[in-house]
Amino acid sequence: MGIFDFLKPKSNSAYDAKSRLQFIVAQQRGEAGAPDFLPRLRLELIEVIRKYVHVPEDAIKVSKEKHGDYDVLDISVELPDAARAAGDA
Amino acid sequence: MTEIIVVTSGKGGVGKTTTSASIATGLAKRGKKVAVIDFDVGLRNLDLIMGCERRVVYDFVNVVHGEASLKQALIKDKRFDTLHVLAASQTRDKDALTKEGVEKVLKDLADEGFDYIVCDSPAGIEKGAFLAMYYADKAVVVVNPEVSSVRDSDRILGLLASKTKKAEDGGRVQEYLLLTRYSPPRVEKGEMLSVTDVEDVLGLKTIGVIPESSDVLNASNKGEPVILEANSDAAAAYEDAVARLMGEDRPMRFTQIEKKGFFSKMFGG
Repeated sequence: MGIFDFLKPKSNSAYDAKSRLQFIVAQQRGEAGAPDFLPRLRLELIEVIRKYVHVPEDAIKVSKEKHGDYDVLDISVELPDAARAAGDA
Repeated sequence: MTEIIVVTSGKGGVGKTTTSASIATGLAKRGKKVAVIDFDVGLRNLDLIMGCERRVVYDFVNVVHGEASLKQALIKDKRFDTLHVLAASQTRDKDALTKEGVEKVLKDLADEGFDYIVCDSPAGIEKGAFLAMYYADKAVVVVNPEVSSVRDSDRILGLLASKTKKAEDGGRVQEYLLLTRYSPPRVEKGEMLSVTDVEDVLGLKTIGVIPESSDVLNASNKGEPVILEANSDAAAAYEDAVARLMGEDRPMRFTQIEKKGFFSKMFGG
């Protein structure tokens, strides 16, 4: 560490590494402990939701997560802006 | 009671064999009767790191197949009377080990009064790695502070929690994290994941942090477990890890940058 070190651009690749890993590990653990029916459940959910709103394929995320001692089935549906507007009307 | 410890990682080249050799030696140094087994059939290395490669006559696979007795195959360490090495076979294929065969060897070692059996796992998640962890009571997961190593070790943690005897019986293998090739200056610069980063990502406590050190290569050149190197930070760090594995509480060392003098601070060092 010299006195002119402040002139060098600061890199913090460790931060990138950590956030990438946190994402990967969460995904990996979701898949590992997840029951086999999750992919099918997801497809059926898409069908049902599409009866009411048109959502793209990737708008639905189904995963099993662990919150303390509990397993939580986490289903999130992202509605497109247009659909939300139509719903309001 | 015999305790079975698997040293595993998923990724290759992170220091499993170095760690197995040092942990086994450290335990023996503390008077425990220890056997360290190389599960890497086809690519044995532990004998080299332990410095007993010229004394391998019979190996693990010979014992599993009943071609040699356990007594014949166990190589007694020259430094510690209570330390024994069971080498892997060089020639046989990976299917040479069976679950039943491994179980019998472990049971026989327990009957012989061994306090610890250290299983040096091969890299990957194939049969050898599976067999090395299957009967474990404790697992030391060796990780480099680097993305691919951390991801692989998470896969291994998943397997430890599902594909081991302990897990099948509704229990849990006690898992510990051991970081190797750690460089505090690089962590400080933000170039390397810190101990806390890796702990956060994996949700596991660290049992040891081994600093990056030229002593590791020196020791392996000589065929001496690095824990026996005099005046070595890596050796001291392994000593600490062994103590913690045996239940001692010790503060973490070698995780901070060493204090520099005024001149090196001013002009770079």
